[in-house]
Amino acid sequence: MNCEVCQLKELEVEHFEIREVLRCILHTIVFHRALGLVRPKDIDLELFNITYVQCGDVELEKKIEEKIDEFISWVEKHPNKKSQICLSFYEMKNKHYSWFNKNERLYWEQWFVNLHVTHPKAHSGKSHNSKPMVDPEETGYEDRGVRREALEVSLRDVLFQIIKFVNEKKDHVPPINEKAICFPCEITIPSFC
Amino acid sequence: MASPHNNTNTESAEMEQIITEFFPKSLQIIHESRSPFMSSRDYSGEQMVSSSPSSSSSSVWPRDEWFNLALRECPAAHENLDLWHQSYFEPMIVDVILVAAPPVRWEPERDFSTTEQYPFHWNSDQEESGSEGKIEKIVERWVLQYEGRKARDSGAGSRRFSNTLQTFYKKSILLMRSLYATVRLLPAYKIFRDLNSSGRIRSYTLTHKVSSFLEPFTCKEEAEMQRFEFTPVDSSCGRLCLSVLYCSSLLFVSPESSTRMFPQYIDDYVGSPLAEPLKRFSSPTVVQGSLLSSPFSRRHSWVYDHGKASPPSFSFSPSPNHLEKHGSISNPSSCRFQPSSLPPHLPDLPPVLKKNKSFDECYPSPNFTPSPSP
Repeated sequence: MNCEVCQLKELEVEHFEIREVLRCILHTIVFHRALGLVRPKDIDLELFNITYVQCGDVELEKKIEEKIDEFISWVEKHPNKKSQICLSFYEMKNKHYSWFNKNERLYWEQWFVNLHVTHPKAHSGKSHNSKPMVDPEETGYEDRGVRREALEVSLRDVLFQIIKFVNEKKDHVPPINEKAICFPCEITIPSFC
Repeated sequence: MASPHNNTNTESAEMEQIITEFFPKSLQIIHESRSPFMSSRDYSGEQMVSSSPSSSSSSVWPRDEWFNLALRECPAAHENLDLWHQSYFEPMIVDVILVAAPPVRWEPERDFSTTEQYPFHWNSDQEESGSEGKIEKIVERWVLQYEGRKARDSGAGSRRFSNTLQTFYKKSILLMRSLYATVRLLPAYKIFRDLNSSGRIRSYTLTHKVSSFLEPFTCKEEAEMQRFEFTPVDSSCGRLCLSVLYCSSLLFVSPESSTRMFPQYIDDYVGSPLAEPLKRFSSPTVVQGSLLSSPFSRRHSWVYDHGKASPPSFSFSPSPNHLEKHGSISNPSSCRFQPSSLPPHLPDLPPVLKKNKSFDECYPSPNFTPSPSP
């Protein structure tokens, strides 16, 4: 079975935006891989004008939140870095050897969420040579507004990227396990780029 | 022990059932996210683990659990759908329509304290009388279709057909997941959220129309729209197709985003001795037609800022990222559709359009009460 890989478009985010952006992306992917019976939940982002969907599984939600917390802690120790979060789906295969049985994970899909977490001071350092004596707070507010709008557009692009990938590639998805809501998955934070 | 022939017949019937259920399920997903006050938003119950619809032994599957997507029953979305149950070769066209009231006429007795919050007057009398002067604009057109094709070699054996059934259903589930997520990402969803978020009377609303007859857009309307096509899901005898044409940018006025209108003393109102009998009154321009006009509004990612105040009508402009042209509704009559030959961008639809056999128009309102399901 082929392992399909999807590299999502890189997003430039500030620290306080990480949680919402990651929730949105990870839950959207998971919703498309939770093929058991689900009762979907609509979630409106607070920072952006976007609504995404959760599959409603409490355990999955908890798992995603834990990984986001872990990532945020890592970011605090490694500021201003580009990073990747990998969401992988796998099947458990039982390998029979002559002396022992070994369960092996066979990955059939991997999603790479690419984030560039920037520090807010990077924006305030911009100088507008053509505008002498401009209130830095007002300039900073406008810059943040423009940046936020651009991020919203980019985030929406990422969500459409997920939907297109899910639509175009279906053959590699394993048969649905009726006993589980979602395919087994893991979230890892590999070394930063 | 069941013969392979009987198994094939059973699986064939199940596949047909999946195809049949594709239409009402898709309609429900679209309807719930486009019809205010009918949404199942925030309806999250306990996870239900019931017998799998994909099990071949299951013959009675609750409607709302089809495609493993448990949605609240929506009788309004299922009205007049029996037609498709009988003939799923008919395409289903779902038009999502933005309806706006015409500009308000100023009256001196008017209560300006409410006017400044409601720049448009949504006159219920006008609604009952047939919406004279209302502006309607199709903001989305969903096309659902099952394309049949020549039957493949059926002598391959029942086992291969079983795999096909399971795979077909799995891919249909994926399609439904994508549809559910996509309807929430398109521009019209913002309007739906605004309408649903508060009980205030708005000057605009969303309706939808379901039919099997496609009324083509004008060239101008088509230029304003973007197309998103879901990858078809193949079965042994055909494929499920789903696509949407949508306005990539919607400029509209909502109370939160419009410029506040302050009370003005109008001394030349209609009937005033100061007014000239034949004087033309210009459209009120105090209302900004852009979501960008107010610093308190959240900018929509599809909004194209013309940088000028627009009259209180609906202007649909494409995002600069997608289209070079942009259009506006300068004449409400441009919203009237002129049936003609199929537009070239929809080659998948049948070349001959039949008269629509089922025409369902829903005008949801705060007082709308769905009829109980049979």
